[in-house]
Amino acid sequence: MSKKILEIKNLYVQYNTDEAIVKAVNGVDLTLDKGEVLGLVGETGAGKSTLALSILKLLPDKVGQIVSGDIMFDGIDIVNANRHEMMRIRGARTSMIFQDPMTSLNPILTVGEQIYEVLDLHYPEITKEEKNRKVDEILKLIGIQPSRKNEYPHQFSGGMKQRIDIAMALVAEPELLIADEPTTALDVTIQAQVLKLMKDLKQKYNSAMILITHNLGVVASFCENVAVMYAGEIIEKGPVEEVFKRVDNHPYTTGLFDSIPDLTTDADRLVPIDGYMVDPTHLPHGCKFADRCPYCMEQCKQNSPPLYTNGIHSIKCFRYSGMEVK
Amino acid sequence: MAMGKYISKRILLLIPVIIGISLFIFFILSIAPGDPAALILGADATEADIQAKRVEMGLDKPILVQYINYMAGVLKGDFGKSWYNGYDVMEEFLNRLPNTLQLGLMAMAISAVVGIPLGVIAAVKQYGVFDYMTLVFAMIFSSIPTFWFGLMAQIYLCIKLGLLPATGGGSFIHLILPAITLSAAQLASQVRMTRTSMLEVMKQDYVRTARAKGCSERRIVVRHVLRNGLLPVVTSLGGSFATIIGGSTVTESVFAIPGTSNMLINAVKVRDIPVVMGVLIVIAAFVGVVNLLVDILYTVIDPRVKLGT
Amino acid sequence: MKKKNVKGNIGNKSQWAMVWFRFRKNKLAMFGLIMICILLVLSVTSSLWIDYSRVYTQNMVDRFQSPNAEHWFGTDQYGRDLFARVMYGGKISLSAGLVVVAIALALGVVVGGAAGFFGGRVDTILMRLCDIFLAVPRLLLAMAIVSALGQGTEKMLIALSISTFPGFARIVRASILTLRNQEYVEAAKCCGTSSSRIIFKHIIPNGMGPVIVSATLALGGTILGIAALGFLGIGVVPPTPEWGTILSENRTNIRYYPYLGLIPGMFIAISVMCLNFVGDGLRDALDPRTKN
Repeated sequence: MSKKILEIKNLYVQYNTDEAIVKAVNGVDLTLDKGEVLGLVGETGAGKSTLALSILKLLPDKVGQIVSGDIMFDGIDIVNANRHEMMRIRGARTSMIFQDPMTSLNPILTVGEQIYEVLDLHYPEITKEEKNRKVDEILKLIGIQPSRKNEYPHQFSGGMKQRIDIAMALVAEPELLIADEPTTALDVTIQAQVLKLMKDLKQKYNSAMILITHNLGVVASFCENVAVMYAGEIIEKGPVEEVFKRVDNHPYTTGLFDSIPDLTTDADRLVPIDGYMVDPTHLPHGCKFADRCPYCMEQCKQNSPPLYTNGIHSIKCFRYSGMEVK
Repeated sequence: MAMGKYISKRILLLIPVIIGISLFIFFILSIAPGDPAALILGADATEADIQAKRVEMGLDKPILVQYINYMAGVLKGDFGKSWYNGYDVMEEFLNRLPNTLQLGLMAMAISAVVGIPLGVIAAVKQYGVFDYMTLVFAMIFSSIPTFWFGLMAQIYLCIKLGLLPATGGGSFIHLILPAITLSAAQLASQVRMTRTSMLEVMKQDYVRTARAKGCSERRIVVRHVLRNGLLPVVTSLGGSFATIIGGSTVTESVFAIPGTSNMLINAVKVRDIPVVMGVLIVIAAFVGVVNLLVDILYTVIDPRVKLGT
Repeated sequence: MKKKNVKGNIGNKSQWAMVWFRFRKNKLAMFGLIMICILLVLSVTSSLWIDYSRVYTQNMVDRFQSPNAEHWFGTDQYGRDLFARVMYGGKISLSAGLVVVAIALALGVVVGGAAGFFGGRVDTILMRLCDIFLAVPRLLLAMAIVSALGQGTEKMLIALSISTFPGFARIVRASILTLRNQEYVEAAKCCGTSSSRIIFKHIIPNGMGPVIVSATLALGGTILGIAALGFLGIGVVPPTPEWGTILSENRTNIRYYPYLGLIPGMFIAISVMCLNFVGDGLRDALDPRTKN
């Protein structure tokens, strides 16, 4: 019995807009074990959200397109799955939490109704009382009085709304939870609360999780493994301890670490990464980080490096070609 | 704000409106050229006749006194008598009201019952054939004059083909074609409004959340999109009603329906001010009440909005 | 290292040039604009190239002719040339519409602008006044004012202007209120920009958009209103040609001579439709986000 819950192979996703084709995901390989917590890091525009939406096939209808590649969820071929199969998977076996809690909830339905809906959709056979009991139970778990379930979203704060989103995503006990920057829109203090909640719930339900964030601190405290995305590619992945050791890293990852203020050292200025991410409508031939990389070689501009790996830690950079253990 | 208090507040607000409109019309009357008395008596009236008529009409008194006398009467429900043929304004109005009300309500019903579903379907099947056809239809009927549509329909369906009665009111069959005519422009605008609103809602994040939960497209439309999308449509119902009342003037004229709007038209042509004022005031009150009802309805269906906001 | 503008090089076009550019791409809107301009030019200049006499001269011999080489639109019951009457009628229908909207716009900008800018008491009083006018359907109010003023084209123009301007006032005021609170106005104030500069460089250019869209659509509605009033015999009175009065004159004859009804009606419909195209096109050009 395979331990893997998710296998993504060579995925290419693009957006076909009126003005140009935006190549958002360019050849991503990713696997996730059951119960594993993966942090997906990258700056805005790296393709993280697109990748997440593709797993659930929630890309914008006419514009988003999975060009090629495989997404296998517990053996099910997602790319070729039809609408009905996807409806069964979404919410019950895989669910997603989105970034902005202020707009993710339907304003004219009560909070209780919206959580109940998940159960109603996927477990029609259990009784109404049982469903209500489950709704109450999860409300208690997220720290909201069950008596509040007849209130409307506008009566809750941003942090509470995000917790309600989490409740909706977990009430059906999914095997995979994708959280797209779940704490970015929240205050720092609320962030901590929400993260702790997610940790507790993950323990309880043993869901695998992909946590998308641009905050390395969150990754450090929460995730087992981390993958770094840049311009639609995964340029580094491995266990958090390995990557965060800062011994071997992709130059971009190094840049990310350097741009975070460090309480232990004495620095005059932060060190940002020079330049901007490449234009996804005009991708260069060679390594996509080439024009911002301090170690750029001639070879980097001509060819795109493969993802070198030593079995545990992988880096997509020619400087690490010697990493490969055969 | 409690319901009762809100309703009273809104009804009280109608009073300055009524005073404002009537004062304004009186003011214009006072500065306008031409003598209503002379107009009514016609070209061969003598100066003495005209003067006598003026006294009879109360026109010899200063305009402010005329106004106060008039409003005092209105408070008692007396809207005066027609300058032209002396009938009691209120009495005649009430006689004719059922026709106009029936016509207006039928037209509103048609535009809502046909227009809203068309708009919903057009939005759900955006860019499809149905959508384009609906938009074309909406564009055409927004541009065709109501009276022209009525005239053509009257000629071809009633006179030439004899399918429906050409003139008169009083029964359903008499009103069906006028109601369709009257509703045409509103229907077109209702379809477009509904479609736009539905499309707006479909782009919202909570629709994506619903999809992520595993809702079928049909469930998304019915449960999540529809109710949110219809909110702006409800708001526009009040304006719809006002427009239909406006359009009823030409419709009643074309189909010779003995309604209040026809009464108004005849009065305007001969400058029969008491009739004009009476109809105007009552219609203003009516529209005000309808708007109030729409606002209350809105607070019932949108939990975010409370009375008085 | 070179900084690249990810969106591609749009160039240094000014904001209005951008709007015009987007408008031009909309084929329907361009068609509408061209058509309405043609109609406008044709009808406004009609007195120059159509002999006035053809509009009024009765010629009982030639009555009820279908469209032919001599009378392009045929003749009516008095033998008058329909083409000439429709063209002259267009002059009144279209230019009257323009005049009404222009006056209403001017009044609306003044009233709405004052309300939005000064706020407080001034705002409340002005808006209450507008509410009074808006409480009654537009056409009815215009009719009531005409009944008080008397018959005639000019009086009708005044009546329609009065019934139209409160709507504009509301839009102008709403525009100003939204813009006053925009962050870029605050930013401009922080930079020390003077009040008048703020008004002319920031508020007016950004606020004009919805007002212009509204004016264009209102023009269509006004033309319909003028035709309706003409048809009813209020405002423009026969024998003055106006699309509405032409239809009312020929009311009983359309049954046997459909062209008498179809042609004027078509002109009204086409004018209004073109104005709607232009109005919609403007709205889309001003706010492209609403498209996709």
